[in-house]
Amino acid sequence: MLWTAATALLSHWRRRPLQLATLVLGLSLATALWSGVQAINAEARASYARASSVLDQKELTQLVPRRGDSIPQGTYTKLRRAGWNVSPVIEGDHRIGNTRVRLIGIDPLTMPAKAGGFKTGDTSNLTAFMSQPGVLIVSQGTALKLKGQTRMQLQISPDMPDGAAFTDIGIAESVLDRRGELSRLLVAVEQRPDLPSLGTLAPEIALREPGDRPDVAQLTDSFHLNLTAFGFLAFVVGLFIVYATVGLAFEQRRTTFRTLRSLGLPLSSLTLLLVAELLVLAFVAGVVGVGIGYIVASLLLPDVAATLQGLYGASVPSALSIRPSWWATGLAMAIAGTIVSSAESLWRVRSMPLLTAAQPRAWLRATTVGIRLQLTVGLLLLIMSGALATFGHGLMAGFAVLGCLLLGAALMLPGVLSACLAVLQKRSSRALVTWFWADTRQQLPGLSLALMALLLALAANVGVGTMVSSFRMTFIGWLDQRLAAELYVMARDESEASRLRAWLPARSTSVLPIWSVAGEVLGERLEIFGAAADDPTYRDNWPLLSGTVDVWDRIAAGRGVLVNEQFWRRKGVGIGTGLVLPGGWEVPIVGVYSDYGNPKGQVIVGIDAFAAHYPQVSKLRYGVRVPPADAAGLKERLISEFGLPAQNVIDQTTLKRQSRAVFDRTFVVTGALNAFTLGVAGFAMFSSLLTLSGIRLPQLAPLWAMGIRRRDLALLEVLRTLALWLATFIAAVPVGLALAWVLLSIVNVEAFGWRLPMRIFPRDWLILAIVALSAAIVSIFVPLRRLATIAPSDLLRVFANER
Amino acid sequence: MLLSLRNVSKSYTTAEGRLDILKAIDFDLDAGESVALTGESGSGKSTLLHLAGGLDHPDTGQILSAGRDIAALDDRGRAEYRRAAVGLVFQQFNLIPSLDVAANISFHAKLAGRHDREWERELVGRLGVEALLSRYPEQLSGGQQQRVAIGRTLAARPPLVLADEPTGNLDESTGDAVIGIMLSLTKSAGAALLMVTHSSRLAQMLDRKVHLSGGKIV
Repeated sequence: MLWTAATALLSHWRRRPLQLATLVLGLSLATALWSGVQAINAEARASYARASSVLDQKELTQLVPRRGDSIPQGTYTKLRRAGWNVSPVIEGDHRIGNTRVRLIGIDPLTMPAKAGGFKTGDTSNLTAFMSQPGVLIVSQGTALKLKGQTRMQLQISPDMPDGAAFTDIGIAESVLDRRGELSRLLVAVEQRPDLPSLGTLAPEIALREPGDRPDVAQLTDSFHLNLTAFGFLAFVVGLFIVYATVGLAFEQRRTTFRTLRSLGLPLSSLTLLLVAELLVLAFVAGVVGVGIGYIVASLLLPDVAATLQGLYGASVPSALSIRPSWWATGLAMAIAGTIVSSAESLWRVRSMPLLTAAQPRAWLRATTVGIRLQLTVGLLLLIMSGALATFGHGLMAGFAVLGCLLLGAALMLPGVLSACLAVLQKRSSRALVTWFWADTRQQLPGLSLALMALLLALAANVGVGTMVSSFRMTFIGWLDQRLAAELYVMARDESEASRLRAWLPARSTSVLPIWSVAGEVLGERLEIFGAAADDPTYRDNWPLLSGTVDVWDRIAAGRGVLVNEQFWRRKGVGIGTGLVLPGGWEVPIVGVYSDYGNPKGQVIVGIDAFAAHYPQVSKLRYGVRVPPADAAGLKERLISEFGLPAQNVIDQTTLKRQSRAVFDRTFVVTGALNAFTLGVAGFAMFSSLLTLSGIRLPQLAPLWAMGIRRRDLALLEVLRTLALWLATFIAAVPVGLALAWVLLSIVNVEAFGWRLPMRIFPRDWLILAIVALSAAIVSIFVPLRRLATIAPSDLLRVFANER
Repeated sequence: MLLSLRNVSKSYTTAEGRLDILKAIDFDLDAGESVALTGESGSGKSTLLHLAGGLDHPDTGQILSAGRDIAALDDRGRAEYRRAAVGLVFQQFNLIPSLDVAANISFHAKLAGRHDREWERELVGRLGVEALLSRYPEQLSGGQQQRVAIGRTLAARPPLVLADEPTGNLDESTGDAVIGIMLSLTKSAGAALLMVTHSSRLAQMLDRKVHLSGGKIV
């Protein structure tokens, strides 16, 4: 019995293959973007965990300083003597040639066996590892970058993440200039049972339990949350398609349901069959979607990796691994999404009176009450969004503002459009124009889900586009200020640097040292730079957000520091706040500067004070000011006359070009996700128009009978689609701008620590409008062709008495 | 002569093969005349009506209206003919669901460029639909919908009204009332009426009766 009933139910899809294709493709697209984004996130997180396991040994208990950033050598000795089986680690950032690496100095003799990544067996020659010039254990990629830049022997390890190197602790101590200052201590699993307590032995250090999340994973949370939000948006847009298609298919089959039940099929069996049918469709669509998602993720991953490297210094491989859990999650999402979007239709079948006739048109016709309710809920969500923006704090509040804003605007759209159409209908006097607006209003409920999906996609495009363009424009202006020197040079060692300092002044307007040390300020690891603050370059160009009137004089005199915006926001410090810098000297903050693209805090002090407090600092890098016309000549002389390698002399134009290229690549992913979301919304519109075109005939035939040609009716259908798309686009612009404001003023500040001025780009909207309207024309093409070429006999069938 | 069909034939191709619906039909209709078109199901009544209304075109023959051969017109010409010269009333009413009763009634007249408020007001009164003007088709009963459909047709003052079983969806008393109104109003408007009906009782209310059988007038 069940099989016979199933055959009858499935015959619907055999007769409507396009409807079936729409359903499967809609769900596939939704799943694809969602699972693609999840694949990228999973790959990145696995990479962070791998790197953390190797570099931070987070599966081991560790001892870390309670205050400051170092443990005295004496504490380590005290612990060892008391019987604690611990191993010292010294780590810090170190520049080798043009490459900055995270250098981790370890003691191979005391290193616990369980420590990830490094094993003493990794080095074939322990003596070479522990003696000068030393060995660097690095990844293949890092080895390529360091080749020819260091005298240390490079040893490649497949476990090493890019941008990091293991070396002997003695060598790290010397290179990083951390004499007797250990970064942390690894605690071996095997310990004596009668150890003296840490609190009495070394109260200055704290125990860190294993299993903490990697720092970079926490740092990149907001980025992955952004990607997830995009994926979820596309998923929801896709579910709109499923909801509309399943709903109509159920309504069209109501007669079949009624007949089957009249013939004795129990309601439970009918429900079971329908659920089974949906599950099979969801499974097929899920497999297709996860497959497409894998392709999407593979295409996007290299750009995501570049973004993560650029924004957070996080190393993520560019190739995607296949994870069974990811496939399972993608399929589960497809199935769960189908069930959620079909729940209402299934419920209707269960509660359907046996003798109710099918009403496919009525199904598409929402009640006025429904639209009003939607309007009210939408308005409440917008109010909630405003309240959260005003009173909320934190990244989650920022995303809640976004969610309420987008959902509220989408819910309000049909009601607002309906009201506008009613006004237009009232104001028009010509019969055909009146009918056009009235008929458009009548089609609105059937198209509302697609229009809401379109609004979300367009608003996301306008919003994210405005954010990216604002960022780009600000970034370029900022680069122009920040990269004021005509040439940037780097010596290969200190003796060459010394020679450079003597050689350059006679051949340039000024020489600006770019020296830095890493240290901890207010509990945060950051970089401290020295700046020649009395040079006009800084006074004229440095991008200050706020500062005292005499900011540069005070910096030059060593009586003040500048902090970057990220640090300023994170720490809640202000002008006048005193900062204790590494070495114990205290100076007040006299200014704040913008520092886009840098996830870390930064402090700038006067170069003289800097050199006095950190005499051992590496003095390899310099900015060189010359008249712009002389820059190329000096570059040539630095290479040919002075003997610097070409890659150690970079001119301003090249540096800016490189920076812009990094910036643009960072937002390739955003652009691609935007385009995909718009594509899914376009498909939602196509599917809705196709659905409507199947039941349009009875509405259009009377007009044809009264003398309106098929061609004119088709033209009116095009106009209607374009009008609705245009109206949705117009509605999407303010929503998108609000979205951009939230991104720039709330989410970015929370996620990255900088706030950008918002700029408006009407030309970008125009391009988006053209793309969107082109998509509209594509979406209406099939239904239109169907209408324009419809045979008069099909139209006559509408009037036939024995239909 | 308002309408003349000369040697008109029409056939359709079906799964079973070619089906001859009308075979060399000759038929005349004078201005102001009302004619009932009767016959069995499938005898070609609706097809003849569709051909006369310019909704379909014959395989052979001429359909002359005011000296013009409708059969020879292109799509644009036939659309113009339907707009200007014909009013159609169907069994399914076929009102425009998105427009209210008032807009439905004036719709065809406005399309034809013959919107006359006075005449429309008179029609609304005689049809008894004054109280329904702001309602939508889905809020009306079958009889009310058909009265609105008649109003829409006659408001345009077409010289020819074609009605395809206009009472087929109505009960007998409502149907009689609707036909009474339609006949009276077409007479007032000076229009000719060609009405397809199965009912010989209704057919007798018209000036003349034409019976179709096997694709021929008998």
